[in-house]
Amino acid sequence: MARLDPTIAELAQEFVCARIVHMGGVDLNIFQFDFEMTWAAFFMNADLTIYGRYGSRRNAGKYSADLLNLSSLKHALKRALEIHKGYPSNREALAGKQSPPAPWPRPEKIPGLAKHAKRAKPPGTCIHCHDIPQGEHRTIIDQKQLLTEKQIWVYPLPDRIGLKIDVAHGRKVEKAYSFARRAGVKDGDIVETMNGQPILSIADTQWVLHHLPYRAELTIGVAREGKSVTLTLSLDGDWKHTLLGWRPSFNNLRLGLRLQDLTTAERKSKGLPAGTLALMVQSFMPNPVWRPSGFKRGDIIVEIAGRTDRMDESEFVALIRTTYAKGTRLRVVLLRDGRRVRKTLTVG
Amino acid sequence: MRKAALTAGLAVIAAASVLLAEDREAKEKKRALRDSEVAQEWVYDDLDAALEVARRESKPLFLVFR
Repeated sequence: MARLDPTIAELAQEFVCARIVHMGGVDLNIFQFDFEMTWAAFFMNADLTIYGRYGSRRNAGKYSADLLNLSSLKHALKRALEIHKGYPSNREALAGKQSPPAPWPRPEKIPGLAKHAKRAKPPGTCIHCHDIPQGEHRTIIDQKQLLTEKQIWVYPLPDRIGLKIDVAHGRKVEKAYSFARRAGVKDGDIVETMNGQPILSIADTQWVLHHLPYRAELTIGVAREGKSVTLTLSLDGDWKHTLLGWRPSFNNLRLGLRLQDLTTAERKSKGLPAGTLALMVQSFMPNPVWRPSGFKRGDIIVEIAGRTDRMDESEFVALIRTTYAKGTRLRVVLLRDGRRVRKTLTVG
Repeated sequence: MRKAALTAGLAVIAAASVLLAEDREAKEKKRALRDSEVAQEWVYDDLDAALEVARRESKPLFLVFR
């Protein structure tokens, strides 16, 4: 990308291309996005009005870049140029794309990152995008505050509302199901707008979804066989819940433990019902400060603070971080070598 | 006359020093970040400079966070 791939090189000449290599000094009141991306981009006006965002991710390892695609980036660049040509008369439609006020205006001002920022040479260069949520979380936790659901369940992919988007296109519905299908979205539809905002990419859909509450009406404008169709999705339930384990910020939230929800077969072999809590301790976080005492690999958490309902690791951690402040001692029941053992887990 | 020439000369030296310092800083960042293969087209790590060009040329910005 830094050498401008031929796929986008010609289009990119219509833009002023800029590469920001660290987050030091970046205005967080303007530049908000899913900070835990492999690669992220903004299309914007020189007056700092955002036209769109690009860059999505669903997991680590081999999946860390599988939602990035030069063809969809090319589509997004084209759409950004169209928006630029229509600017500023289209400004009202772009209002929802602008960032709301940030809790801290610049990364260096986040208390959890201040020391980190000062150590770097040149100053600020060690603050990467993924440090932002980590610093924010650490600050909130150290202040003995609770995280909100929105701070944990960030930027859900459109799959969560039943929109599987063609990664090479960025806006074409490959498969509609769940909420989207019930609302009338069809395979092959092109997503033009969401709640009135022009959509350029999967990241743009995530921006809209990130700012919605769990229960929400979502209006989608699609292009279908040359016509524009407007559909309304009624969202409800836990659709914002998604896999968090790959996110660097999740390591801050874990209580020193890496946990795995037991499979149906594993539950059967241990005599555990399908719908109850059964999270096995797989390993401990490397930092010994975070490591809770009294736990062993292979222990199975079957009860936490009176809760025994089934949760995966992400939901378990989210429950604790949104309910119990740092220093709270939680009663835990473990299954160890077939026997029930009581332990205490201190929220750190 | 000589005073004016001296002042102008000092101003040129000062401006050159600032530019050299900026260039040095950019190089230092690239080295620290192992980010050496950046094409000429990119404004490197300077949002204000990119905004200025975008204003002057009435172009939109394509801003990448690595």
